[in-house]
Amino acid sequence: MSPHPSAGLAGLTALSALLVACAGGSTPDDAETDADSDAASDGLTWVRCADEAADTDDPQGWCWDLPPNVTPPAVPDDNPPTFAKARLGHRLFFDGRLSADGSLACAGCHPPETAFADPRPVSVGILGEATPRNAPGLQNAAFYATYTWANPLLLDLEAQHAVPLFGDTPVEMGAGGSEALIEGRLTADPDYPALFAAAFPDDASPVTLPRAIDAIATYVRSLTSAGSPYDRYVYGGEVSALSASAVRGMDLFFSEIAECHHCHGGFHLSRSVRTARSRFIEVAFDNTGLYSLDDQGAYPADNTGLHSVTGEASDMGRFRPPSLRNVALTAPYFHDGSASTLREVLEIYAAGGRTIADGPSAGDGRDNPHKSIFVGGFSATEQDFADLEAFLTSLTDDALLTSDKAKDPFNQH
Amino acid sequence: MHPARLLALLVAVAGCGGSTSDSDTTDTTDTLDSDVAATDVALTVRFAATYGGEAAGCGDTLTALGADEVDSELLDLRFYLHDVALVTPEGDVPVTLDDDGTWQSEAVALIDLEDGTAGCAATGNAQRNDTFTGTAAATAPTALRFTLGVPDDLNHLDVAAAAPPLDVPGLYWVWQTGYKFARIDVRPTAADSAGWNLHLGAGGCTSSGSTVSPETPCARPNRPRITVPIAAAVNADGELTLDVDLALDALFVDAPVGTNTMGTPPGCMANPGDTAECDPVFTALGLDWETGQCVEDCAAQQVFNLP
Repeated sequence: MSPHPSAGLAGLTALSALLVACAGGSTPDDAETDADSDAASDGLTWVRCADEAADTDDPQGWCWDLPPNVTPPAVPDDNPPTFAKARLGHRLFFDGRLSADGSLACAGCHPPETAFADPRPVSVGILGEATPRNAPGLQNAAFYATYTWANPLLLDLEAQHAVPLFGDTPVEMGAGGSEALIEGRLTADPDYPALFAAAFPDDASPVTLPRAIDAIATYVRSLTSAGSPYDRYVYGGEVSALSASAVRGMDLFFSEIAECHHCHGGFHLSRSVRTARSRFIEVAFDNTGLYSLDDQGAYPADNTGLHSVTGEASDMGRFRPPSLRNVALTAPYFHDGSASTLREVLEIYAAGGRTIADGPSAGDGRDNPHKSIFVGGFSATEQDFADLEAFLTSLTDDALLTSDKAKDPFNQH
Repeated sequence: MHPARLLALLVAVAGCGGSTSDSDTTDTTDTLDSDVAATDVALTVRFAATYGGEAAGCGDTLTALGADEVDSELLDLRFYLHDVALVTPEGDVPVTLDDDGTWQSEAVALIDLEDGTAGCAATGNAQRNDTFTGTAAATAPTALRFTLGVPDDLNHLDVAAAAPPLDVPGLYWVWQTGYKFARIDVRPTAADSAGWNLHLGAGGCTSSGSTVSPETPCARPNRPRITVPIAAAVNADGELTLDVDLALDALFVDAPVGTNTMGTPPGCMANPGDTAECDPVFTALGLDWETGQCVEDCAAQQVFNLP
């Protein structure tokens, strides 16, 4: 993704006007009109509030776009979310100037069209080096207990950002060593200094990479999804939201036959979950029997999961269970993008793991000694597979994907 | 009924004497309130898991566990309890749980005896809670009584919205089946064993779908009513502290920990069809596997004991 020229932004007044859009008291039509008439820069109006009492005029205010039944995610004490931060983060997320050579934005590996997941099997850095992993989708990323596919030490999105920005094995965005260069670009931009100042009003010199990270983390937290047909059926009582096939698939998904829900249950559809009310973090990493290169259950050496952090033999092949929201859009699947379709994934789980006949990854993952107790396999008919696929497809939230916050703010004119 | 409400009702019934006069009721209630206050017992109950009489936790080897006597380790050890009472010669006196906003509400308490280490790392967490507290107007109790599990009226909540301690995803299935009343998972330490889970919860729950709460109680309640005789006495400060052991050897005594019936989930998930794995642990808890009810007040259970 190439760096975008930025359109002018008429300062804080315009920013405030943009932030009014979630319209505590005004009608949606009013909000749209206001935003259009005061529109500057990208013209996007993406903040929605479930809490009608929230002061959406206040750049330092905040509201979660979540229904009242959902406890909001946890946020770090030192980076409380504000509209001004999220708005800045939205812009930075799509801005290639955050990478060393100006070529790669966060959105380069997390494109909104595929629910912020990389459509390539593995993501590629600015030097053309392949990472071992498929950049995952970001909807409801705020709800995870830990970040990246398999790191128990990254407990918030701010910490996670160090990996793509500064990681050097391989180089992803290559910001390490180029901090001054990148901060210089942002400082020279016509809009960013005011946006940073609005987001971090107490900072003397707010245009820094750490503050950019705080802002992007806040933007990513704003990417909440609770409007899928599944949500409307389960939480909204809208019985017609799901087809009969999807309901059958849902019942199979949540059964002790398929056992899917043990790792992909709850509102987050992942057992790696942390909310504002969680009292403790449950570590959630599982070996799903994708590989077994030897009788010790080895995974490919560049991708051993939790084991690569802890060094514990029993952590071989353990990865964080991803949330399944928007999963129909996030192919290819697994940490290494090694399954192309949902059907392929379902068949692997039905078999109780994956058998690879030949090549460097050959082995019978079903026999992996570290495999989760819940990946025992199950018998499924053609109809069962179709039903499970229908259920998984019902997790697609068009409301998020078509909202302004999923749009590239540099390409709106 | 909620213990506090039940207590209030008992007080009202005992004190009103049939009078309907407002002044009488008020006077009587005042008198009783002061009586209650004078005899309130501050109850503290501490649980400890044991194996062969020794303290047992994550990382300890449970030597020759179960019917097939396989060396095993713990993977998880958590349970809910509710409807606590102190047994007195005059009858059962309800205990009102202290709502601490974390481990216990007034209705239900969560006991968490795993610490997220060793085998417990996969599903557990570092925080432990071995204690619940409450108050009851009972001067000379002879036994502690509680029901294992989550009460029916709270059992089918949405875990994403439920207040603590019912907000733990790892102790929840889905709306239809509700919460895992107890999650006591073990694994034979032989390398080829994935594990053997005891997930006790309500059985025979019916609703129009897995994500829909039942409108009537599940056919098999599967909630053992536990009675443990009391050895300690109420002290001069009105405090009563009890230690209760959870004997893992008694719980798994006849359980086929080294095997699992093909085509059924690993261990006992309290599901119909899980008979070979569930019947022995249900029996150990004093429950009838077919009905999910206590057999003779669950008096035969040997799992929860005085140290």
